[in-house]
Amino acid sequence: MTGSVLTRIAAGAVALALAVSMSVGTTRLAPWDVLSEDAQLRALAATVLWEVRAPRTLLAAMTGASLALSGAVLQGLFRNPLADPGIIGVSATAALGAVLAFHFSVATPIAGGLAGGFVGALLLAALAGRGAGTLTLVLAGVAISSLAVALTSLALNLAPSPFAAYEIMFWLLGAVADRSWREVTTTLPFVVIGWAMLLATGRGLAALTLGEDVARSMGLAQGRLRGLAIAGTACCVGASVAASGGIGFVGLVVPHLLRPLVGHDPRRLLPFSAAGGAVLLLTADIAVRLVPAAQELKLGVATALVGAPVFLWQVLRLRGIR
Amino acid sequence: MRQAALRGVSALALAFCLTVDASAGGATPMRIVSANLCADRLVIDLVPRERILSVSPFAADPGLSPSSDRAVGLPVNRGDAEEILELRPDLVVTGAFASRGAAALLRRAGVAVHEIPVTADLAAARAAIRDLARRLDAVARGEAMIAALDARLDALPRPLVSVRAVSLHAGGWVAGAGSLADAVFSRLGIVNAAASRIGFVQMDVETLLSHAPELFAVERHGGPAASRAAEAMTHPALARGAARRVEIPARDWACADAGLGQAAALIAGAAR
Repeated sequence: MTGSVLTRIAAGAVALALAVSMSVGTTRLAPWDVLSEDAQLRALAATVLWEVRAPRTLLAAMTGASLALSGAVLQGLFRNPLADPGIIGVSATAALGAVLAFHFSVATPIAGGLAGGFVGALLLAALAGRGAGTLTLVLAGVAISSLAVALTSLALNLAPSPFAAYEIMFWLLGAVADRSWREVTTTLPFVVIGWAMLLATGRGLAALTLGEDVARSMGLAQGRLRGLAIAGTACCVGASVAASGGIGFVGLVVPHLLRPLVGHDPRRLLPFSAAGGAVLLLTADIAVRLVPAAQELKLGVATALVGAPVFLWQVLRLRGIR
Repeated sequence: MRQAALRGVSALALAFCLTVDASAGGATPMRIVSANLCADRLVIDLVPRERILSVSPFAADPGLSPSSDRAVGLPVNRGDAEEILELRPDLVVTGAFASRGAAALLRRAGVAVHEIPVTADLAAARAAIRDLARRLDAVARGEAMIAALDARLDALPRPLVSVRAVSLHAGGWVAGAGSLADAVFSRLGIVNAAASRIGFVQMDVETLLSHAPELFAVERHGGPAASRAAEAMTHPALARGAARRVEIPARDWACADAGLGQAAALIAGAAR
């Protein structure tokens, strides 16, 4: 498929997902109710659409794009098909940072999420240094992730609020329900900065696909590339997790689904991954609102249902290659 | 060795049974352990302090109990069977939500346990206070407590025009029909906007707004402790439009006792 057709399809898919997300809710209110004759219904629809559904929709799109984009960058950087902010532990350390900052009233959750994201990304880069194999990277990620989840649970149990201990589900599985413009406006700047850094890695990652030696001979500054990838991931994943909790598998699934369509060139894959991540998470968020459960499902449940099979398929494929 | 240990344990258990049985036969309980916040509040108000051996860790928290000043200095228990058995109480008062396992263990060890039931309306609340007062041999104080609550509720003003209200609690929980908040609303002549739902239900902001409440009675938890559950009640969409908001301290909603009078007074004041 040619680039312009793909771009149009991607833009159309994002627009459609945004529109459906604004139209679907836990009540039967529809966007056209803002034009209703009934003044009361009109006011209610306006409040619900603008104050409830719009921030939720934007947050889902931003979070999905951040996770998928950083997944695509990390897969390119580590040249490892299993890299994903959830699997390598950055989401978990970001959640830990946000929990410590928020529940102990030390700082804003965003600041905590960013700090946690940086710690996780740097720890991983140190543990699974240059040229680390798939196994090393994933095992280091599992270790960081498990430790961060355990510490998050400990922190929630020790937090001064009696409700904190029950909030582990949100931090592990994520949700954008009832988020407001407060979260959108505090998250957006960091997410945009993170996207800019991650998108700037496209050329370097393209050179890296030819192998490290060739890339070096082409004049690639690997230190700068790693720095951009790690800082960009920490920025946009850290801020997203602080606002919507840890949502797994988006960063893993989206690049794998898109490679057969857009090819392996990171310069093309990265922007399409961002769009695909937004569409996937918006779709997941629409699904959790439509499932008639007494308590709304967490977003991570929906993404894991799609993501875990893809993860297994990747593992089996890797084994087949060896 | 192991058999000896077992024999020791059963002898100990038997000893407990004997001591407890000697005092449990309807006599005035003199060694009372309260293992739950709502039990603490009632027991402290119904019997003299000397008869109370131990209370829950929350009894002395002014944010959770109106009688906290009288709980200061009383020994504290965490509600598990082992530490309660060690105190050799002649009555353990607990709530239906408190550790079920502990209550069963205590009963099996022969300790008298009085469980305060969950109440969903004012008649049941009165009956629960009356039952406990009888068990504590404090009937007169129990009747006085009930009369004071009823007098306070009767004296509250009723809204002149119909008002639709919701009782909103931490984590987005809303009191539907068959809850104490619903009972307080109807006693005050206020319409519970969430009456189509039964018991406590969790509502997202969108669903909550679609019930068109005109008054939000929002449970407020003291202290600076941050939680997402508490944040759920500060969504900006709840402040849009003409709906009024009144904050009810958590301690006034927590238990079916005199605290309800305080919650009702705040709601009645806001609904006028």
